[in-house]
Amino acid sequence: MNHLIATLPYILFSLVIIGVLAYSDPRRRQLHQKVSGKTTRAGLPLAARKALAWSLALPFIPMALTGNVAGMLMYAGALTVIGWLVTEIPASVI
Amino acid sequence: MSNVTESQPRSKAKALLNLHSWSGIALGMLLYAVIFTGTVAVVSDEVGEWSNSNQHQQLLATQNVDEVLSQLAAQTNSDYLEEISAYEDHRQNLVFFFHTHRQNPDGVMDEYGVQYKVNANGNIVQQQEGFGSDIYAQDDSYALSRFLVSIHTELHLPAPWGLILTGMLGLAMLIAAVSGFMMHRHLFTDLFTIRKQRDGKSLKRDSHTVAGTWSIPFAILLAFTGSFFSFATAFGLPAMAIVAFGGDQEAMMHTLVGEQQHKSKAPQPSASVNTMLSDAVSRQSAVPTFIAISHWGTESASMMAFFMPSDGEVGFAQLVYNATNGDFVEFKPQVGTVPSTGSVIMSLIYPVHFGTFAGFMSKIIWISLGVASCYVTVTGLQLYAFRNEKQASGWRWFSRLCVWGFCGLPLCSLSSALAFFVSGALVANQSVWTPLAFVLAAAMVSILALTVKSIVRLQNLLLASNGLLCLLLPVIRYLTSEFGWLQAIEQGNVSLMFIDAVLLLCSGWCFHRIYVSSEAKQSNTNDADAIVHDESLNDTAGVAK
Repeated sequence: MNHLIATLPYILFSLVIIGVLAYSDPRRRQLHQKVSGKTTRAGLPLAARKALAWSLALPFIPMALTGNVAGMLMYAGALTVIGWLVTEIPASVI
Repeated sequence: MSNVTESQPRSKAKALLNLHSWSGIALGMLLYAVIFTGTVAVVSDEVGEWSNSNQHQQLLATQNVDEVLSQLAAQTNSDYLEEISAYEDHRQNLVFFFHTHRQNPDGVMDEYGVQYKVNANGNIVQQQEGFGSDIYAQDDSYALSRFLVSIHTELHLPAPWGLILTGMLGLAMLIAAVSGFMMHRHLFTDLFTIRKQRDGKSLKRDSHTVAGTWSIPFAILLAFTGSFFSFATAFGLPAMAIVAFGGDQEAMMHTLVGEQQHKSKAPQPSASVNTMLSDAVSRQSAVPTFIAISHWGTESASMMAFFMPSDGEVGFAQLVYNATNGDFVEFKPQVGTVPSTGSVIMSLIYPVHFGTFAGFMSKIIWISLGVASCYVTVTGLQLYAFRNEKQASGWRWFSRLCVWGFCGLPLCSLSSALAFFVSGALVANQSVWTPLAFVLAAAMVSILALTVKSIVRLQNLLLASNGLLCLLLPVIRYLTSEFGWLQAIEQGNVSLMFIDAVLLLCSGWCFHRIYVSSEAKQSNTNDADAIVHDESLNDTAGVAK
């Protein structure tokens, strides 16, 4: 059970990062502005978005160091599902 | 010259699109069936527990296995003492199968012997003699989970054709995933974008692309491992037996499993199974899923305890004991006698494919991956149907086929679960009624698909039936077992609550879809009325002028 508990914070971390990436996505923002006619959202520079995207790989380092192979696989699966589900949320919400 | 260089990538993209479309269209519906039932197969153990309103009691650790085994061995034909497997079933019995190996009527090497089911009090509740495959196929406690898993693995087609077909479906999924990845030019820029249509619905193409893009790594992984399973059993092992072992499958299995072919049958009392079991439990901090004892009561006696992946690991663990003195011998590799990369890979394939490596949490993630893959298949086929329907009305049958398959398969699966409970309550043969209900439901759905003219009405009808069955099944399960949520909470029976909750959630989703569909219809009707009203006003104004 320990490796499950160890993986959970990383999964929550990925949820936050993917949420921020979706929120600051230029095409999504463009779409939202087109629909709502509002220009309320602040974007992120491309370099910051790239850094955020790469940060999703960071949890693999502690998991590899602790030999938590199951956690790595689970994190990769969760990343996939979270990415899809967050994207499915309408642009007006995120 | 520039036209030539521009047309090359365009023609390549077109070729990839064709490859992607046809690999999906040709086998898409069957692929959906395999993915949907695969998603259910991830929780096949939980479905088994839920369908029997049971929770594993870890009887291998709590019962006096040694005493029961000795009593049963004394009353069993000595030929069947060659191998004894023991595990706990879904009805709180310990199952002992004393067997030897023989060719079954299909010409396949099979286990043959006598199976005893022993309850928690040590009494034999059932005794059967025959081939292992036949006994397992008639075991009512596994009727529902076995039926659903069998659709996933071989679509209920005779061997080896079912395995070959599912292997091909895995390859089709692999081709679709890779070609989809290669042909999409804005893969990362479109990763978060789902455009909306004028009526507010998501654009089908975007829904398909986004779900497909996110799930590509796992689609490739699951398609590859699935194809490996199918082809290894249907082609790989028989081919290996012919090439490397001159057709001797038994010799091949001895090499792969790592057992000596010729063992001494000289009698010698065996060590206590309880001692070996408690040692295995302390080493793995878990109770084995099953144990297999070879050559019980001889000087070649050995015991193997099989464990699901332990903390942080992905592969299975197999502990081998010398059953003459009870000493621990080794952690046995999955393949062969010495640790190897091939053995590690082999031990990873099953847990990675079914997500059984980290208990419930990994299973929930794998179910979500299955749902994402189902969604990609559904939106892909719907997209094709939608595009062709717009171009030619003769393609409406394809939309109908999509509704028939996408809503029909869950309905048939739910019907088989309903039949499982009802036949159990009527003390009928659950192994017969479970698949029969599926076939009857499939016939009903087909008749409806052919007779109901409006596709929307057909879809709503099937969704309503799905929703109703999802709502009814937990109630029927409770009525037939009298095992409710309060007892489940008291006993910590997570599987039962999880499946019940998922069914209720699915029911809510079905009725929500019907509501959304009726709202959209209402809105379309209002729009049409408004247009007619505007036109009549214009006409009146024209007449007045």
